[in-house]
Amino acid sequence: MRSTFIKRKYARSDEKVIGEEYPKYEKFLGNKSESSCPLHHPWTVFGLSRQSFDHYRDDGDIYPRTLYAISQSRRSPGERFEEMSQKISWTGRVRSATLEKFEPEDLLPDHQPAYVASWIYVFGVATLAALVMLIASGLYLTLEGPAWWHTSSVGHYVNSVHLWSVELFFVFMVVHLWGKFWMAAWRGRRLATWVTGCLAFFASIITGFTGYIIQTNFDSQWISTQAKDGFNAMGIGAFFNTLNTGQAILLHVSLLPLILGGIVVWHVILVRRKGVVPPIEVGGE
Amino acid sequence: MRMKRELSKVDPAKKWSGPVREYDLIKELVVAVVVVGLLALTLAALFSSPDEKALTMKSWSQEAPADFVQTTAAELAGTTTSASYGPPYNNNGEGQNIGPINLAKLAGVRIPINPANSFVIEPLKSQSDPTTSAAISRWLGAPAKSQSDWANSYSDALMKDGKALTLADPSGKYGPVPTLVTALFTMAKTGALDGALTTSDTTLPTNFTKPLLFLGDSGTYFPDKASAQHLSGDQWGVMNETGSWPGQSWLWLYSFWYQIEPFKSSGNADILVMSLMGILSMGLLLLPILPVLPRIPYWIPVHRLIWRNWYNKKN
Repeated sequence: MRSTFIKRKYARSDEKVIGEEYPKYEKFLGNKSESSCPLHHPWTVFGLSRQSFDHYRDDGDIYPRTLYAISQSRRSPGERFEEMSQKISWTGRVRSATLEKFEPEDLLPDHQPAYVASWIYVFGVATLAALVMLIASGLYLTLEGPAWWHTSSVGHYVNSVHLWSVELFFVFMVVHLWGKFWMAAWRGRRLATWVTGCLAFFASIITGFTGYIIQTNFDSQWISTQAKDGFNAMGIGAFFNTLNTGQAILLHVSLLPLILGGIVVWHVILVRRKGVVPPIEVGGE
Repeated sequence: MRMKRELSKVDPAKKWSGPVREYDLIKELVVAVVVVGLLALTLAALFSSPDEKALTMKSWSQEAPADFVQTTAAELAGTTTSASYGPPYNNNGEGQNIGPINLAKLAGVRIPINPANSFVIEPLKSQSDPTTSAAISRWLGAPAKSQSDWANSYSDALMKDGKALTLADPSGKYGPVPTLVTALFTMAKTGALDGALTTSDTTLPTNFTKPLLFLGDSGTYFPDKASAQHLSGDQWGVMNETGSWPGQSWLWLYSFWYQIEPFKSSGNADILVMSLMGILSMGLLLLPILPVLPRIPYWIPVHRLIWRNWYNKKN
């Protein structure tokens, strides 16, 4: 409905036509005098407050003047439509909050600040590389089923790759985490980067734990029976039963990798967007 | 010196406009995947991975028969860990508290388990032996006090003897309990109990709650196997792996709290440790906005080592 309104408005460039259609805009935008309750406004249904649009219409007779000003500008109707769409359409808002925040060279850089020259930086990408190996070996195990690796020598080897990948993954991740701590890498509005990194660490621990309890061997039997007490004490065990192997398998191969993958992608995007934190004496605090 | 002064005014939140160096993101990622991949493949080829065979009711009844019959009698008597656990399995225990809060009770009984019925009576119902059926009928028809008296008497007698798999009952004070225990023992030795415990809900089992809880109630068999693999709680428990392989070493802090007081001897150790780890995790998450902790990197200048090339060039 809103989209139709915008198209109609910007498809026409002459002021006269826009002025004639003003009552239609009022219909779509609502009238403050009709109700003071924000819940009565139709846009609140979609999670958009009336205030979001008020700067387009303003009160009383300011709105026609605003339209007039817009119509008098030198921008083409297409440009004006794009601007308006970006501000009020959901797609436009998502685009401006994501894609338009990035320069191509931020996402895929071919140069870095000169201070990005230390072995500590290797551990971030090494963590990602270990995650790639984990996913690859995990997919192989998933395709063959949970019992395959007990009976097949190839399966046992793939399981070994999965085990050593997770060991490497955590070693790299912990070194990366410590490195970022000593670099005070949260400086310069990088708190979200730090937080997503920590969330990735926690999600990795839970994912790793579910991996250990779905081995379907003695180790998984013991770990699941011991760990249940901690989860039960917290009330979590009523919903995540460590002794239910089927539930743990599904969590380990579907839900948790999705969560972990999403957090890692978010973390990497933040790193690319904010850039690598400068040395302490350079960037101050 | 002038450059140093200018650099010190750089806002770390703003895009870097100082000197740069060449970099190739895709090349770095590809090289990292190849190197780490080769490392993982090599470690897997050299050291393999552990795979200790899972324990079963059959292996338990064959390798530790006395422990099996003692545990079965204790399940009927309601004296095992599972029988007195509380939520989420039953209401026979209080669970663990942190202060006045009992989160397990708030979550409720969502995985109902009555060990006497779930582990002993229900599996035995699948047996066609008339003696066993008569014993089940007598057990189910008796009042709770009689059930408790029979089972407790028999359980105590088995524990006292230590090695007996069955005991004579000339005075009838054990009721049908010896018959039930012996029938379950026989069923376990054939492997039938493993199937009966896992297929009560579905014929294609994925849920091993019942056999694992039953096994967890074992007095010696299960814990002795774990101790031999250095997996017991006082051996840093769940962070270890069987054999000499590395386990979940990242759980070291979680395991550490169980090694020291007041957690070590507390009846609420699990909820205390989980709560403490939750607080510490939140501390790590919000470290940048906490007092004191974010200042540590400034006081202990490890960053001078990390960025030593940069500092050397500047100076």
